[in-house]
Amino acid sequence: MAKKINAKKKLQDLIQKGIVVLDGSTGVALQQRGMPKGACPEKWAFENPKPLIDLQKEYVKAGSQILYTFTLGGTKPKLDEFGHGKEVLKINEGLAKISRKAIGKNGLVAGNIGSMGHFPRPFGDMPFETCVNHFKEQVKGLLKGGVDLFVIETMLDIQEARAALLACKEFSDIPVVVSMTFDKDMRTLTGTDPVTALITLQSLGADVVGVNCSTGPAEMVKVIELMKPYAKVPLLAKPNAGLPRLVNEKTVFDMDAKMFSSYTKSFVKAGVNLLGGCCGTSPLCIAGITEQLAKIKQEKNITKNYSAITSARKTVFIAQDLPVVVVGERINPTGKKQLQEELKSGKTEEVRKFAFEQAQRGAQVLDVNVGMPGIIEKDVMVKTVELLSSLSELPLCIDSPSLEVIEAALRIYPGRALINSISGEPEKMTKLLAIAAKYGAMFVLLPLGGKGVPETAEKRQLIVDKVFTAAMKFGFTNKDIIIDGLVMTVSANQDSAAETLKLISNSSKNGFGTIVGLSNVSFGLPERGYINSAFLAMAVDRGLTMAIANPSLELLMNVKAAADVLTMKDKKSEIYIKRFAETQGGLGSKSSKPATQETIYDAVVNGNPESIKKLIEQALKAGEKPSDIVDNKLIPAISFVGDLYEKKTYFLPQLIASADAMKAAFVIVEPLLKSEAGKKIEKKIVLIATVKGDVHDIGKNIVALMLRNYGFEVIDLGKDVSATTIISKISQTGAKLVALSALMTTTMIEMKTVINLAKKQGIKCRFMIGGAVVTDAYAKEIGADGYSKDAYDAVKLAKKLSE
Amino acid sequence: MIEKIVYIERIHAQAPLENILYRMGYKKGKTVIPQEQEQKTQEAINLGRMLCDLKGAYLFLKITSKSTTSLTLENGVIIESAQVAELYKASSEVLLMAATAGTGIVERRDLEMKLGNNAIGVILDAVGSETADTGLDWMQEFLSIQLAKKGRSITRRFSPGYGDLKIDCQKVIHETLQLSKIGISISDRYILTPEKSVIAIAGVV
Repeated sequence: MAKKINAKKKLQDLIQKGIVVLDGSTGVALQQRGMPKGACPEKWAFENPKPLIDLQKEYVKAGSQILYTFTLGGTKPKLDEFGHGKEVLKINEGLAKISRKAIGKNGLVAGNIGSMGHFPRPFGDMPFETCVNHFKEQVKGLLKGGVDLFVIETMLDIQEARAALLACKEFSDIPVVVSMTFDKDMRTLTGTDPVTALITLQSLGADVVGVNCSTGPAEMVKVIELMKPYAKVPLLAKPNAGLPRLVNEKTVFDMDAKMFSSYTKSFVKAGVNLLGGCCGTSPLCIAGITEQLAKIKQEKNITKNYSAITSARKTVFIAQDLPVVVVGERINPTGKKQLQEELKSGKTEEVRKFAFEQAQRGAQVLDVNVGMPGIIEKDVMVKTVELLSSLSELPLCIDSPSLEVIEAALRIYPGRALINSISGEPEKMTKLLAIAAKYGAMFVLLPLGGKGVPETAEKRQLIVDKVFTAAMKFGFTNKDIIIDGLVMTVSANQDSAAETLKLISNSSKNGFGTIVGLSNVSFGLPERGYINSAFLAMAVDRGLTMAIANPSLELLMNVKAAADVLTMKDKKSEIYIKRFAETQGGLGSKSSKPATQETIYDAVVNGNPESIKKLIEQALKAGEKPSDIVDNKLIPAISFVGDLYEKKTYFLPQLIASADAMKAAFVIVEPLLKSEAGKKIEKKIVLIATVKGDVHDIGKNIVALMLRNYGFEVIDLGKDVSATTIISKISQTGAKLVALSALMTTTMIEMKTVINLAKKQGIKCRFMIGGAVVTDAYAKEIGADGYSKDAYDAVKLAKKLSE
Repeated sequence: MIEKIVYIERIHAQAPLENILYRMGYKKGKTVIPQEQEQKTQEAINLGRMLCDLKGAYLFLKITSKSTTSLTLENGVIIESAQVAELYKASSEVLLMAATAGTGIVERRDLEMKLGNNAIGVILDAVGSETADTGLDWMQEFLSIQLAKKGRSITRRFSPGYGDLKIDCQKVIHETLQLSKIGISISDRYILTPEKSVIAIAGVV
C-alpha cells in the first residue's frame, strides 16, 4: 500500500504542478541510430542500451518528465514473433532499468505496454484470460525493473485495453495510464469513440486516459476536446508529427518540430494534462512543447456530473433532462420456448433477432437474462454477452440473481455495464458492490431487504439509504446508481402504483436515476397496454429516467415519446417529430404520392411489386384488355426504366425492383394474354446457365429476370452446368440463343468448351456471354456472338441476336 | 508457422455506404432515389450489415528471394507474378490476408431471390462483397498503425485473379493461412466458400 500512495502521489503532484511533458518517438529514432530494420526492437535495445539511454537522456534534456520504457512489443506474443517469447521478464526488467538510469532522480518511468497483435474475444480469437495473463507477465518484468507507473498505449481495441488495465490493477497498485488510438473518423479500429473509451476506462480504474498515434496534433486536439467534459481523470495526448506518407519506400511525416509544437496551446486549451509525441517526433519536438508550455497559462476545466453506461461502440447517458432510456426486455427465456431451446442447444438466432429488432424499435439498452433450468447460466451468459458485444452497439444490462454470473459477464464485457440488480440483502449486497466497483459498473438498486416487498415508499427508501451508504464506501455516487421503483400489481393493491411513483419522485430529487419494469403494474387486468402506458407517462412526470419494456409495443413507445415531449426531455420535440415522420412514410415528403393516384405505369417505374397486382386487377375490372395493359403501360414503363438505368438516373436495385414489379404483373396478365389471343403465344427461347465449376449465379439470375420481363422465354439451367448438359438442352428445347455466365478466370474457360462442343456437333445457335471477368475481346476470342456488361445490356443484346 | 497466423473472429467494420451504392451503379449527382425506395434500400443495407459475420486472418512472411517474375517466401511458397514482383521489389516481407463476410448474408440473399425479392437480393449481394473487402481494409489499417511504430509501411495490396497474379495462387494462400479455421473452403477451381470471401497479398517496406 505504501508503494501505491507514493506512486500515485508522485504522479498527482506532477499533474498538479502543470502540464506534464512526456517523451517522443523511440523506435524510428533508434533505427536512425543503428537498430537494423527487421530486428526485434526490444531485444536489440536490451543488448545495445547506449543508443536508447542517449536518446532518452536527450528527451529528458528536452523537458520530458516521464519516460516510456522501450517495451511496446514486450508481451510474449510480440516477442515470440522474433523467437524471444521466453525472455519476457528479463527484457522488460532490463529495459525498465535502462529508462530508470536515463531519467535520473526527478522524473518518472512509465512501463510501456502495447497491443499484442492478437485481439481478445469478442473481436479476436484469443481468450480474454489468456490476454490478461500475457499482460501480467510483462507487468511483472516491468515492476521488477522499477517502473513508477504503467502506460498502456496505441490501443486499437477497447477490450485489449481493458485486459491490460485489469492485468496492471490485479498485479500492482501503481497508477495506470491508458492511451487509445483513434482514426480520422474518431473511432478505434473496433469502433469505439473517444467519449465511450474514456467512460469505460476511467470506470474500470484508469488513472489517466488519453490518445496517441495514428493522427497528427490537429485531429488529436479534437479528441481531447470531446473527452474533456466527461473526464474525471487527467487526459493525455501523444500525437504523431502530422500524417505519414510513403516517399521512396520510406515513411515520412509532414511536420517539423516547430509546426508540431505550435499545437501546444490548442492542447492546453482543450484540457490536456500530459503531452508528448508519437511517431515521427524527436527530442526537438519535445523541446518545442516545453518551450511553448512556459508561455501558456493552464485553464481550469469543468467536468460534467453525469450517469452513463457504454458498449464497445456507444455511450448512453441517463438523466432527468434526457428522454427516458428504454431497456429492451426481450432477451429473457421466460415464456419464450424457441429462445429456451436455442440457449440449450447453443444456437444464437433468437438472441440476434431480439437484439436487432429491439434496437430498430427504439431500445437504447439491452437487458440480458439467460436464467433457466437445464443450462450452465454462467457459460451461456458469457457467450451471449460476447455475441451481443460484437453484434449490437447498445450497452448491456446484466440481469441475473447470481454473483458468479454477474462477475463473469462484467469481466468480459467491453464497456461499462448496468447490473440488474443489487438489493439490500446484507451479505450479497457487499459482495456485489465489490464486484460492481472493480469493473466500474453502474447498478440498479432494488429496494428489497430479504423480508418480502416493502409496501410503502418510506420503507423502500430506508433500504435505498442503506445500500447507498454501503455503496459510497466503494466509491459510488448517486450518479452510478439507478433506483428501481419496484412496480407491483394494481389489481392486487391499487395503492401500489402511488407508492412506486413516490419513490421515483424522492429518488429523482436526490439526484438518482430511476427505473421501472412496466408490465407488472397491469397484471390481471384486461387491455394491459393502456395501464402500462398511462403508468409510464405518470412515472416520466415524476422524473423517471429508464424503463424496462418491450419496445415493440407501439402504444407504449408512442406514449413514452409524447411524455418525453411534455416533460421537456425531448428538446424541441425532435425525436417525437422524427418518430412519426418515419412511421407515416415521411412527413412533408414531396416525392411520395398517395397510393390511390399510382398508376400501373408508376408502379413499374417506382418498382412497386406490392401495389401493381391490385392496380392490374382494377384495370381489368374496368374493362381494359390485357394486351393493352402490356403494350401501353408495362412495356413503355420498363423501357423507360431501362433508359433511366442507362443514364445512371436509376441504379441496379431500382432496375431490379421495376423488374420485380413487372414479374408480379405478368403473373396475372400472361394467362389472360393467351386466352385473348386464342392461341399459344410464341416467345423466343433463351437458354441460360452458369458454366461448370462456377457456383456464382446472382448475375445469371438477374439477367434471366430481365429477359423474362422483355418477353423472352427463359430456360434457366442453374449453376455449375456442364457443357454436355447445355448442349443436350439446346437440342431438346430448340433454343436459338444461349446465355452463359462465369465469374472466375478459372471457370470462364468453360464457355469456350461449350461453344466448341456446339460447333463440333453442328448445333446452330448463338451464344452471348457475361460475368465479372469476361470481356468483349474474350467473347470474340472464343467465338461467342456477343458480350453484355450488365443485365440491361443483356436484354438489348438478346433482342439483337434474336432478330 | 501456425502460431504466427492471427485470426480475428469478429471484425467490427461496416462497409461504407458509398462503396455499397457505387457497386450497385449509384452515381452521385446523377442517380435519383425516391424517398420510399431509399428507405427500402437503407433497410436492406442494414439487414445485410446485420447478417455479415466478418472474420479475418493474416500472416507476415519474409521474402527469401526475388526475381523479376516471382517472389519466394520463407515457407517455400512461390508467388509467380511479374506485377507483384515489381510492386514489392523494395519489400522484405509480404502480408497475406483473407476476410469473409460469412454464410448468413449469402443464404439470405439466395432466399430473398428465391422468394422473388430480387431487389433486396442484389443489395444483400453488394453488402456482402463490400463487407469482405472492408475486412481487408480493416486489417491493413490495424497493421499499418503497428508497423508505423517501427518505421515500416504496407504497400498496395493485390488479389489473385487480378493482373498476372493467377487465381490458383488462392490455393497456396488458403493453405498457408489455414483458412478453414475461419470457415473458408476452396474448390478445385479455386472458388472460395462462403462466396463473400477475399484473399489478398501486400508488401511490407
